[in-house]
Parts: sequence; C-alpha cells; structure tokens
Amino acid sequence: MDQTERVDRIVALLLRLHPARFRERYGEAVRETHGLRSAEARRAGRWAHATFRLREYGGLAVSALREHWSSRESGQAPGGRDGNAHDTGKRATVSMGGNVRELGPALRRLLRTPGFTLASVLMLGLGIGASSAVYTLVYSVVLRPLPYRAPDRLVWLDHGAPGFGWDRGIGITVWQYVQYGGSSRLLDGIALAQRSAVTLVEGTAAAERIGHATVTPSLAAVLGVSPLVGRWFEDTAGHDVVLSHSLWQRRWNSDPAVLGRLLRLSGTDYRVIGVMPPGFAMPDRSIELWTAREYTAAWPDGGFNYHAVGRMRPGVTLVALQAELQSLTDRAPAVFGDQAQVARRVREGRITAVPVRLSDHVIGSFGDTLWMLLGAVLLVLLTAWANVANLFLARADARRREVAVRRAIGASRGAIARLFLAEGALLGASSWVLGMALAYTAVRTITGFAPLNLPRAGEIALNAHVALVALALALVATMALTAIPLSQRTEAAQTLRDGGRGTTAGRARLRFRAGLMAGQVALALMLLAGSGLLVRSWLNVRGTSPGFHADNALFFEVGLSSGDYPDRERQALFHTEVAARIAALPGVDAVAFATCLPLDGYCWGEGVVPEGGAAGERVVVSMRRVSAGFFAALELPLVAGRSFTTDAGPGADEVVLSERAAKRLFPDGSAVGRQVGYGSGGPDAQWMRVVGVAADAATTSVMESSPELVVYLPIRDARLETVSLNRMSFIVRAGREPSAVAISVRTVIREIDAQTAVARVRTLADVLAADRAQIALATVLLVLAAAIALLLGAIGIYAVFTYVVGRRTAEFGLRLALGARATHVFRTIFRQAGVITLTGFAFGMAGAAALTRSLATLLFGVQPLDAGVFLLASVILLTIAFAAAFVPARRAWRLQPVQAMRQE
Amino acid sequence: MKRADHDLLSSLEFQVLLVLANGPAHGYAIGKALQEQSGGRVDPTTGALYHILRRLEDSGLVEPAVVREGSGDARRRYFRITRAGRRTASAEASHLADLVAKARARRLLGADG
Repeated sequence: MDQTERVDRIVALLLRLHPARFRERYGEAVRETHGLRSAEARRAGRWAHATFRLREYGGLAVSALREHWSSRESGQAPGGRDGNAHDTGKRATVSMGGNVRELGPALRRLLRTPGFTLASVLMLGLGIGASSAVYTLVYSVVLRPLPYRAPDRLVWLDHGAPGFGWDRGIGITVWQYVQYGGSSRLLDGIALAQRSAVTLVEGTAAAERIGHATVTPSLAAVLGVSPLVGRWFEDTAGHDVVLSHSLWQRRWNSDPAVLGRLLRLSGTDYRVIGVMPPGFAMPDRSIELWTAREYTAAWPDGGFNYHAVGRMRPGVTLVALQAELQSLTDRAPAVFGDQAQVARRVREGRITAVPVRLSDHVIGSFGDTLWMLLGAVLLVLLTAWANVANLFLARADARRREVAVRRAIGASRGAIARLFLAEGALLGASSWVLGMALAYTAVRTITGFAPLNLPRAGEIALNAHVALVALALALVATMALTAIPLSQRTEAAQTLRDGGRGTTAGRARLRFRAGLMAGQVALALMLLAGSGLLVRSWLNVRGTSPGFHADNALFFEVGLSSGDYPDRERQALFHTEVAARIAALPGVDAVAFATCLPLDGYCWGEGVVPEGGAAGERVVVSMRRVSAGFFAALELPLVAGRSFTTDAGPGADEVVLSERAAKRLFPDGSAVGRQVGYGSGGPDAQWMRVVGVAADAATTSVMESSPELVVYLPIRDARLETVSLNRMSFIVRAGREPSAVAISVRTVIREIDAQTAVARVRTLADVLAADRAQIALATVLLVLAAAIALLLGAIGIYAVFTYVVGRRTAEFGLRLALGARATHVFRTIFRQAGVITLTGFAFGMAGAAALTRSLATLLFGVQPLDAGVFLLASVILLTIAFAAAFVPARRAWRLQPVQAMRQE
Repeated sequence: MKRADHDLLSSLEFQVLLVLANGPAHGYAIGKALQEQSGGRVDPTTGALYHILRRLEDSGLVEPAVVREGSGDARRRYFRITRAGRRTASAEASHLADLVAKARARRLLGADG
C-alpha cells in the first residue's frame, strides 16, 4: 500500500512535467495503465518490478520532453490557433526548440574527441562532487534552519560563572527559570529541561539505558513543534512519556500502536502519549525520552543542573535580552533571600547570563570547520576548472578555423554560439551527473565515519537543494568555458589565412593560461599548507596522552532503577558485587568503578576550601566517587601518598586530589596529610583528609588547555550525599579481546539483576576517537582536497608547458639550426616555468597565511604560521611544479632542428 | 489535422493501429496486445504509449471511444481506430507488403528463396 502510493507520487510528479493539454486528456489514463502494469510487474518479482519502475519513469520523462517539443512545433505551425497574439513568445520557443535540436549534433561532436570530453567531465565532476559533498554537510548542519517554528528567535539560555572559571556552558538554575519566566518582557516563552538517563524495561525485552530529559510542558510550544504521532504533555499530572523518533523506530519499528503502552522507566510506570518528529533534539541528540514536570521556586535543587530554551519576542536582539536576563539574575539574592546558597553562588561566581542563538548552540564549533572545508573544496573546484579551461583553450585554437569556416559560409554568430553552448550544456550536465554520484558516495562515507558528536548528523543527506546548486554551478562553469572561442574577435579571413598561429591573440591566450597556472599553484599551496597544519595537529593530538593508559580496557555504564535500589547503601552494594563478580571472570586483570570517568565531560562540581585557607577562598572542583582499585585499573599513576584502601566500612573521610587540584589548594606542595573542607569552610564544614595525589587525567578532551581540578572521594563516604550512585561507570582491564569481555560482563550483570541496563560499552580507543573526531574529519577531508588540488595543478602545469613547447617548436628549431645549444632552449622553457610558478607561489603564500588563520580553532600544538609546515608545503609544491614542467621542457631539449622546422 | 501525408507512420504507430483494428481498447490492453503481436519485441513504456496515442489522436487516426459493456469502467479511456486510421493503416500495410515482396525478390527473406 505504502509502496504503491510512493510510486504514484513519482508518476504524478512526472505527469506534472507534461504539457497541461496532455495531462487533461491522458493523465488519468496514464496513471491507470501504469498502475495495472505495475501490479503485474510486482507479481513477477522484486527485481522485475524495480527495473519496470525505472523504465517507466524514464519513459515518462522522455514523453514529457517530446510532448513539450511537439506542442511547440504545433504552435509554430501556420494557421495555429495561437495566431499572432503571441508572436514574441513564439519566437522564444522556436529558439528553445533550436537549442534542443543542437544537443544531438553536439553530443556527436563531443564523442569525436573522447579524450577531451572524458578529461573535462572527470575533472569537473571531481570538483563538483567534492564541493557538493561538503556543501551537503554545510547545508544540512549549518544552513538549513532547525526544524522548529521561526528558529531564529529561539535562544539557548546559558550562563557563565567567571568567578569559578567558567565563561559559559554551566546551564541554568530553577530559580532563574522561574525569574525569567515570570518577569522577562523580551521572552515570549521559556522551557526548562533536565538531562538524565533511565533504564527502560518493557515486556521481556532486554533492559536498555536511554537518555532522558525531564522537561516543562511549555517546551513544545516554545519550539513550535507538534508530535508526529499522539500528543505532547498538556499538564504534569499523569505519568506520561513522549518518545523520540529514533527510539520509536529502533525499538518499536515505527509502530503507532505504541501509544498507550506502559513503559517501566527506572522502576516507575509511564504511559506513552506521543512520538516527536525526527530532528527534535532537546536538550541534545542523546535524549530519546521525555517526561514532564513543572518547576517552581520551591524546588529544592538550586544548582546549575538544567538547560533552558526561550523564544524571543519579534525584533528583540540578543544584546537587549542579555541585559534584561542579567538584571533579573542580579536581583535574585533579593528575591530569594532565604536561599543562602543562591545568594552565595550569584555573588561568588559572578553569574552572567549568556543567551546564544539556539542554532549557534546546536552547531557549535563544527560550523567553522565545515565552512573552512567548503572553502577548501571550492579551491579544488577552481583548480579543476582552471584545468578544463586549459583544455578548452587548446580546443578553441583548433576550432577557430571551424568557426571561421562556418561564418564564411554564412552561419550567424548566434547559430555558432548555440552550437558551443549546446556542447557546454552537455558537458556541464555530464559532470553534474558524475559529481552527484561522487557526492552521494562521499556523503555516505563521511556520515558513516562521522564523529558521534557531529551536530544534526542524522539530518545529513544529499537533497534537491544541493543538487540544484551543483547543477547551476556545473552549467555556469561549462557555459563560461564554451564562450572562449566566441570571444576571440579575430577576423574570419585572417584566421583562415594564418591558421591562428603566432598572432597577438595567441600571446594573449598564453598570458591567460599562465595566469590560470599561477592560480593553480597558489591554490595548491594554500591547501597544502592548511592540510600540513592539520596533519601536524593530528599527530600532536595522537601523541598526547590522556594522562592514563588502560589501552585495552573496556568502559561501560550501569544504571539502576531507583525504585529497586532506593538508598545509597544498596546501590553501593550492587556495584561492589558486580565488580567482584567481574574480577572473578577468567582473564580479567582489574576492575574498578567511578561516578565519572576521565574524558567523559563535565561532572558534578562543588566548592572546597583548603585547611588553613581563608573562609572565602573557595575553589571549585569536580567531585568524583571512585572505588579503591580505580587508579590501578586506569593505570593513572599516584604522584604522592596512596589510594583508598577499601570500598567497605564507614568513616572513610579520605580524599585523593588531582595534581593540579593539589597545587591549587596547597601551593606550598605538601597536600598529603592536610585537610580539605567541603562547605563554606566555617564551623559547619565537613573536613576530609588528603591521602594521595594522582596525576592529572584529561577531563573533557586531550586537547583541553587546562583539565578540571578533581577531588576523588571513596564510594562509601556517608557524609556527602550529593553524588548519586545510581549510575556508575566501570573499567575492566583484561588480557582478552574487549568485545569478548563485554559479553561476559552483560551475562554477569543480567545474572545479578536482569532489570539493570548496561550502556555505552566502549574501549579507550573509542573514547579517544570520539575526542579526536572533529580534527580527524577536518584533517582527512583537507588532506584529500590538497592531494586532488596538487594532482590537478600538476596536470595543469604539464599541459601549459606542453602547449608552450608545441607553440615554440618552430622557433626553437630555428635557433638550434642557427647554433643555439640545447641547454639554452631547455633553460628558456624552464625559466618561463619558474616565473609563473614563483608568481603563483607568492600569491599562494599570502593566501595560505590568510587561510590558516581560519584554522586556528582546530589547531593543536602548532601555530597557524608554522615555519616547518610552510617550508615542507613549499618544497612539495615546487618539486611537483618543476617536475611537471620538466617533461615538456626535456622534449624541447631533444628537438632535432630539421624536424622542428618542418612542423611549420 | 496537421499530419498531411499519412504514409509517414512510425513502426510503433502502425502497430498500435493494427491492435485497434481489432476493436476498441484501453491503454493497458493496447500495451499487452502490442507485446503479444510482436512476440515480446515491442513493449513501450506507459509514457511512450500515450505519446503515440496522443499523436495518432491528433492526426485523426484514432479517437476516444465510449464502451458500454458491463466491464467498461467509466474512468477508463478507450481508443478506437477511425476511418482515416483504417485507411492509413491499410495503405501502410500494402506498402509494407510491397517491401516484403521486394525483400523476397532480393533473397533477403526465406520462405521461397
């Protein structure tokens, strides 16, 4: 049923391309006949049906063209009903028909020079394919508006706390949400979301850990989105849940009957009421389930553990909004005077409102990378175009006689122009087809290995918009080239007489070619330098240790249903048992668990004070609970003291500091044995004794300039209740293949509690790969672009000098005959190559210096103007340029004078 | 109306006229009959078929037909050969027969040669 409808849509579309008169008379009949034949073909098997459909679509496309053509012919016929009223319109259609008629002969002419045609199509197709592939990324990720209503008015209401060292990215608190929602006059609406993860159990299927967000019901209205199926939250009364499109597809096979079903989420039953459309990603793509809650000022959690999105009223600027939100935040201590924590945070952290456009927030730094890559592939396209221009110039020389003859026998300029334009159109269309095929493959490859954190990755696909832009580009590029022979206004008679050789026009063409070649050198140098810098950065990133080793370790996450494990004691017991059982598995060397792992991003942060420090001297640290074997399992070396001795027993008031935290809290250098206070440092502070100092481990990325300060707490410390033990990350180090270990781990956990989900199973290599994804993507694509540009550039240089040598063969022959030495001829050619190459080189250097500055955010451990990289790029480029010029120059050297002169 | 010289029939046009000479038919049936008539060698796409039918209708060789049989679906568009169509087809057939005879004479065709 579904399939029939889709087929009908394509047929309907193709029918729409037919003239209206045809459609009115036969549209219905065509549809019916097609339907009957389609049903018949389907009975013959899938393959037969597929080929049938392709034939039918092709047939309809052709008949659309023929019908238009015929209707134009009949309109032109004498005595046609159109009469004289549409005289001008008629003339236009006549020339259109003429153009269409040019295509056949044009194709034959192109096929008569298959080398030229193939080379042009290949080079342009390559350029167009590469540009279209990257433009697809740019369009899908950056340019296409977010799938929400009036997305330019949506803002991500972020905050910063310069007092704690964060300029942005800390999110929002509930009290700010209440303040903004109640008092902002510039916001039209605001919604709050809190990210978490739940364990989904439904029926007998395996438990699954799924990204979940608790949101205010206002979210759908603020974004202007309605569910694909079912409804969104109307209130927060019931236990309702809304699914993401991806989860619905994956787990329920897009079955609408999922509505009304009961799902057990971390121990509580929720009823499915709706499914959101694809592309709805709030707060981000990892969230696949939403439940509703309304937050009020009475909400106990005053921390920055939330995300908010707002809709600005029309005409409001971000600057105005920032000022308003800032004043509302600054007034918070007065409004929430009873909440000491709020007042303290605003004062100490110097909380600043940082509203950013939602699109900027979603796209993040990837936008710059993608634009840079688009720039790079457009340079490749230009290089390709320059080569094809060269080919056209060579051909134009040959064809000038043809043009002259045609003019001499009376062809109008317009007729000749049509002739060439038809060829251009054919070449453009063919390059476009090849380019689209290449782009399609490239886009699939790129999305296949695309970084997981690439925003909007699910929305990336070659689409009609990209295809049309590419088609326009292809046609403009080739049509411009076909105009070359027309622009040469030499007198027909003269051309016929001298065969187009040795004239001023010839020299002008050579200058043009030299310019093209210099341009290619410049473009290739820019791309080489850029990719060289990225390769250096990539090598630096690869060479940077995250601070720990655990190369063959397996990481995974376990989430407990809070219903079944209500208190911390039972949660800790569960994790301890899991660790013990895994440790008993054959081949397992070490097991440990922690609330937060290195390279896992932002963890719970709090302020601490050092023993003997001033009360106000709070330092914000990342607090992580770790099991006793954590440092050993991760191979994270301890630089002083020891780790925790056991995971059992109360009274563990010990902590281990990261090296940077130790230096910051105790600048005099002796942290072990001292105390760290949690709280304001006054009499109510809870003191913990430092037993060890661990080396710094990368907290969010190996490329971070300064890892967070970390305080490691033991699992069973009863004093600090703040860090939840619901979700725990495990590290298993084994001598065996990690995937085999993963299977055993799942079995062990299922045996202990079948309702517990194992999630995010990965190796250190996976973690590091995700961390390097952005720079890896940029490096691979830019190196590819540079390689293509270099190849095309070399071809271009070779072609130009082959031409130069060919043009001056007679002259060289004469010189040789008059006693010039062969080396002199060689030097003449080579000097010319040198001048052109060095001119291009100079421009390329300037361009590269400008280009690499735009790479700055991607670079790691290397400066945008790194001398080594620029030197290497120059050497590679000059070597290849001179090698490409050498071959034709050698031909000149080996000339036999008699032979050479005979050519004249 | 435009087509002045009816002997410029394409092979496919002639074959369609041949099918319709057997009685009115709709698009699907014409397609089927063309296939059978040619031993599977002629199998135009739906687009090509209606392009031919439109041209034949415009030339007055074929016209829409009203079929009153019980099986006739009101939506179905039936085609019928006109008198001019019959004349043209028959002229074409004798022209072809002529050619076949010539082919035979030049021993291009088996049978008696």
